[in-house]
Amino acid sequence: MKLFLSLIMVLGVVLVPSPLQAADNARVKQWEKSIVTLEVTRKIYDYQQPWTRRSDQTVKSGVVTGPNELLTTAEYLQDRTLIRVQKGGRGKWFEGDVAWIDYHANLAIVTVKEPGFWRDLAALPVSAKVPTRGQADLVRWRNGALEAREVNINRLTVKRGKLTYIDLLQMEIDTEMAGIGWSETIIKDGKIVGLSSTREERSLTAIPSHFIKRCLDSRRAGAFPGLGYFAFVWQRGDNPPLMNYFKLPGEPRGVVVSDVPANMVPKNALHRRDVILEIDGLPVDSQGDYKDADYGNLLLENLATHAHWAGDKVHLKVWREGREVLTEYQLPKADYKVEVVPDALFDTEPEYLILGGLVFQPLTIPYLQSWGADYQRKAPFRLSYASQQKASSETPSVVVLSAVLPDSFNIGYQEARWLLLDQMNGRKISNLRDIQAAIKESKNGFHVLLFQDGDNLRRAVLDANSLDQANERILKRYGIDEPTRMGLATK
Amino acid sequence: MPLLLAIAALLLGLTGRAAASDPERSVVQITTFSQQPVWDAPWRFDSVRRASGTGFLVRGKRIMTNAHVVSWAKQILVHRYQDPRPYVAKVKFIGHDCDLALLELENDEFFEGMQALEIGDLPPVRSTVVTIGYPAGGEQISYTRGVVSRIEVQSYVHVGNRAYLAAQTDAAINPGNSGGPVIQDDKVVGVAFQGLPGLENTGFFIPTTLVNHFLKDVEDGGYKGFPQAGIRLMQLQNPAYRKMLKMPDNNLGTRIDHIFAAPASKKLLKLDDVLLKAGDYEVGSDGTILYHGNRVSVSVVFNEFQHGESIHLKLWRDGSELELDLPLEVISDDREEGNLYDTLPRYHVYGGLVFMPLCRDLMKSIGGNWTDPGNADLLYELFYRKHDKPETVRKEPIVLTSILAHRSNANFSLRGRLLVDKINGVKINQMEDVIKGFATENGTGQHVLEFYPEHGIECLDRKASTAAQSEILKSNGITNDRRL
Repeated sequence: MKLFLSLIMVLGVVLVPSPLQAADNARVKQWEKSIVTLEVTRKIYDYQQPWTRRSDQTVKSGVVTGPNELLTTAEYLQDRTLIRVQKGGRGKWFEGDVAWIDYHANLAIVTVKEPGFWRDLAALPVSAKVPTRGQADLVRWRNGALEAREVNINRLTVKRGKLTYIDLLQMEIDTEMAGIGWSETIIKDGKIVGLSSTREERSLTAIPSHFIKRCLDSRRAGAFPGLGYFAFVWQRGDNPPLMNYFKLPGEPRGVVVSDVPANMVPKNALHRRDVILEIDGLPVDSQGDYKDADYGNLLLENLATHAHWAGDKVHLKVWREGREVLTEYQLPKADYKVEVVPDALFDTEPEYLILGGLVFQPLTIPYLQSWGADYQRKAPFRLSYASQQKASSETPSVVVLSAVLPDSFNIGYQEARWLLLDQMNGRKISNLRDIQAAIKESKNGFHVLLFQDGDNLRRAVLDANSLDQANERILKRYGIDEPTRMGLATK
Repeated sequence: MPLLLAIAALLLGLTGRAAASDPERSVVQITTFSQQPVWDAPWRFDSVRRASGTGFLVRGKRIMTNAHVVSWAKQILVHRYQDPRPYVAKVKFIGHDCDLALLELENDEFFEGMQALEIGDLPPVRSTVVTIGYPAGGEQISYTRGVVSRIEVQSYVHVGNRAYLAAQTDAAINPGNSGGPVIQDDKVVGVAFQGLPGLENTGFFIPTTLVNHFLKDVEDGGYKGFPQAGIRLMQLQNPAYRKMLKMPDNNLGTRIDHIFAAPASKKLLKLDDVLLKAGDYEVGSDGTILYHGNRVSVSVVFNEFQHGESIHLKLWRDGSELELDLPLEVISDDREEGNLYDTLPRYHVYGGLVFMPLCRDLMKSIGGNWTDPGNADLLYELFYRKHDKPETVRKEPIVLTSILAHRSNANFSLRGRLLVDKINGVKINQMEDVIKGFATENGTGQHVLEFYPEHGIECLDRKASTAAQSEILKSNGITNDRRL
């Protein structure tokens, strides 16, 4: 009997939860009503053969933030064909739909029409302030159970966003967890403080709740204007001789504008060699940082999104030609299309145009990424170099001869590829529509194509009279349905 | 007396036959001690390196070998066949473009008993050749037999930006073989010079067409190199293109797709001229000619001419034939795109800032990843600007390659290899402009440096940098602030 009692006591120690554990379990338990799983089916394109596609499925997390409102990252929602949502980590899948998405912000709201889905779900509040350090919980559904793991918030930093070319405030988190970065919710003190976006080695990057809340509030108000950014280029101003040259009194401070965009609003808002001393009344130091009231030293780029939207005017104090000048700078809207080689193409099928077996595509980063993530090293130099250039009124975008589908019509050009098309029939070519227009302008029965000068083919000629016949033959032989695709939305 | 003469003639004849049948007696081992400059610290040199190659005696008491065997050599020692005595040699002529060199020796004793090897013709493909040399793996002379596998235009890796006719053989050509003769029927039919990494039983030799060109080039006492037309030819096989140019539907003619800077070509040739015949050779629609039984690039014919000579061309222009003589010149304005030898790098150090001309060797000093995107602006400037924006090409783009740390430049915030646009308002087109720029007064007390293409700007305090100059030079072991 003694032995039996002892066993019970020992077992009791193991089996009965402590008050602390019980509280913790209750805390996690309540999150079960807020965290959901999303399964996204979407189209994936092969930019080397842009007429082909396949589908792919991704499972990621979401969190309830309001009535009919599931918050998740925008990543992997592009080119979607089906979204299914599951609550409670198991059971029925409900069909979802995107109610709002902004790829630059990397945020989306998914909703589910079926009212039964929302039953028993509860919104988690989004914290207006973000902790810069300390512990938080990363929460996700895993194998039917809600997993809440402690992670360490390391710092807030301003760096390039996951899906955008602009710099945004982001939260860096230390963790050894694997398989994360799929929009898991970061919770502290019962509030959402971040949404995970990228994991590299032991560092997880998350979108901070301060930024999320601004976006969601704006969206709820029905007027999300998009993200603005500073399109000018600056360099540090911490070299005293440089500041002496500008005759700036006192210790070095501010940053030097080294280049301004051609389409700046107002046109003379900034001059090259201006020294930016203040933005919205906040002093800018010589490293390009300002002192944020909540988060300490942050890169000045944050001031474009911290309290502003695209189209807002930012007040600048600059040092220009030996005196202080107050100026206003209107934030341009983040838009992939303003780049000569767009960073991304979301919800749009890849464009192409086949001309007698010559395959033309707009030069885009997704096309370059068909050489791999390190495309800048692996893609042909002329193409990757073009991606670093700025768009101009003469060259708003560029078209590349990506491949040749061999046929008797294009004999002699089979080896030609990765050439930037400059002109066709005397018309400047910036996009595929220009080619379509040029097709109508053949001269003496010939199409004359002029590629950008380099170390390869400069000129090619095609027979205009037999082009249609050749196109038909080539499309049939290579199993391609359409000779061209332009600007089609994926949905 | 007649008997005596007969014996002398017989002896000469015997000597001649002995040399022909024993060509190894005319083949020498070359040992070099070379030292190259450090391209990212151009006032310093790498440690002395020992290397060996092969050479052979040609007419005029000269030793022929590869340029790459004797490049950057501080001392060249030549060993005769089975003779332990080293003889000091020096470079008389060197052609880095064709990877050939001629050495001369001060000591005439060296040539006693040696006969110059006779230069033969281009060997037929499938014929047997023997390479003779002193490859790695032993000290004694080595013979390897193989067949001529193919003959075509290949890149000459020594210079890096030239391609000429080369013969491929399966006779082993290994390090140390370089510069050795390739023999057929007792005559030299080529000079062993390079292999292809990753390809087994594949070696290349420089055919005698190039060897003879080199020997003729130096007859006037200087080497000029292989002239070029400065044009880019493209195949003309598309029926529509041929039709537009009113060309007959046959297999002849290659199209001029681009004309580079060569003045004669710019004056006499036009885009879309079709090259029908170059010299005596009909040009195929793929840009090749039938050359000694081999289908090779038409550039081979142009390579037969010397600098200043003219090649007779038959062209098709505007629907009819046209004949003209095109003067050919050696093009040297792309020298920096290739590997540079035997000329020490130009530089200027001021205030700890190191300035150098942009060149391939400078890029290579970055390391194995010199073609990485981080160096894209330099790559574009070196290789592509002349194509895209020829009107903006600078004579000698200058790079701020490094900053030798000192309190006077410690806060210079722009880093990395930067292309220099202006110094104190002086546009930098060549190294001399850097000197001129720093000497230019701008009344601000600062030296103002502007960079491109990103429009960066930086300053050095004039007084501080001038005062620091000698200290920086001394602490970095730089005896001269410039090499121009």
